[in-house]
Amino acid sequence: MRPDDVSVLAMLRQSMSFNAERQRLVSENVAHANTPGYTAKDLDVADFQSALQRQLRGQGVTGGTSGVRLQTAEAGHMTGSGGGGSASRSWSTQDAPDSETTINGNSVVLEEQMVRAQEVRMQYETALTLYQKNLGLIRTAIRPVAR
Amino acid sequence: MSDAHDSMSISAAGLRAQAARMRIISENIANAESTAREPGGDPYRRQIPVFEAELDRATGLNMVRMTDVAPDESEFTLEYDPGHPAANAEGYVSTSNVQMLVEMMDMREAMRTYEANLNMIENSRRMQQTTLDLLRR
Repeated sequence: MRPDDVSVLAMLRQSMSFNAERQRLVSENVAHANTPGYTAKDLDVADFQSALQRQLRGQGVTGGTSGVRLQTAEAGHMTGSGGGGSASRSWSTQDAPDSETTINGNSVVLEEQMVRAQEVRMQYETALTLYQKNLGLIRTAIRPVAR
Repeated sequence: MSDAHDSMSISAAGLRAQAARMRIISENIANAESTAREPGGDPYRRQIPVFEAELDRATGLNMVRMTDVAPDESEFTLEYDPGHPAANAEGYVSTSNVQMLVEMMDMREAMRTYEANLNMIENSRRMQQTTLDLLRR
């Protein structure tokens, strides 16, 4: 069993990878705070939300993940459940100009980027803490009873 | 995992760019009073850093870099000082087009952006650290 076979863990991992990538974009925006003609970028949050919904709906009683799966045409093919990459996907990037654009066409407002960075970090750490707690549950389950 | 590293290297590029800008600003301030050596010559001309987004081919990241330093084409100011060695035939000395107030403002902005980049590095580092803490328990 891999951690990703537990659907909650797979979902939390997706959430974490989403937030890590979003953090990278915030870094990019901050680094370009003075570049003329630069438009601030952000990940498509709605895309992520819908992916999350799909994931929530797609999991059956067996608890499989609804990420990208390998096609198997013959019996000898790998199913993909043993390899990685089922939950890793990239999110679509879109232009997200901040509230004001300077005269040289730069639309990064540092304050707004800082707020977004904190928001991203909070979400990331929430997902991480939940991940930890879920691993703790599994650990509790595999621990011998009489001790 | 590599996202954290990517964001740190982008922020580091931002730090480098702002530091380079700071160097240009100090150059301007240091030369604010520089005049020409010969009579009627041009004094120090204010320099402006040019930032550009640049794709780093090795990592595929959208880095920032100070690609050029452009001269400020605004007018020099003229001061009447017939005794000055750089004074022209009418007794006027042209002084550099550096304005202290503008330089100070630029400097504050560079500092602010530098600090924001540092914050982002710290943020990414913490996120990475908390993730690695999973291994401890």
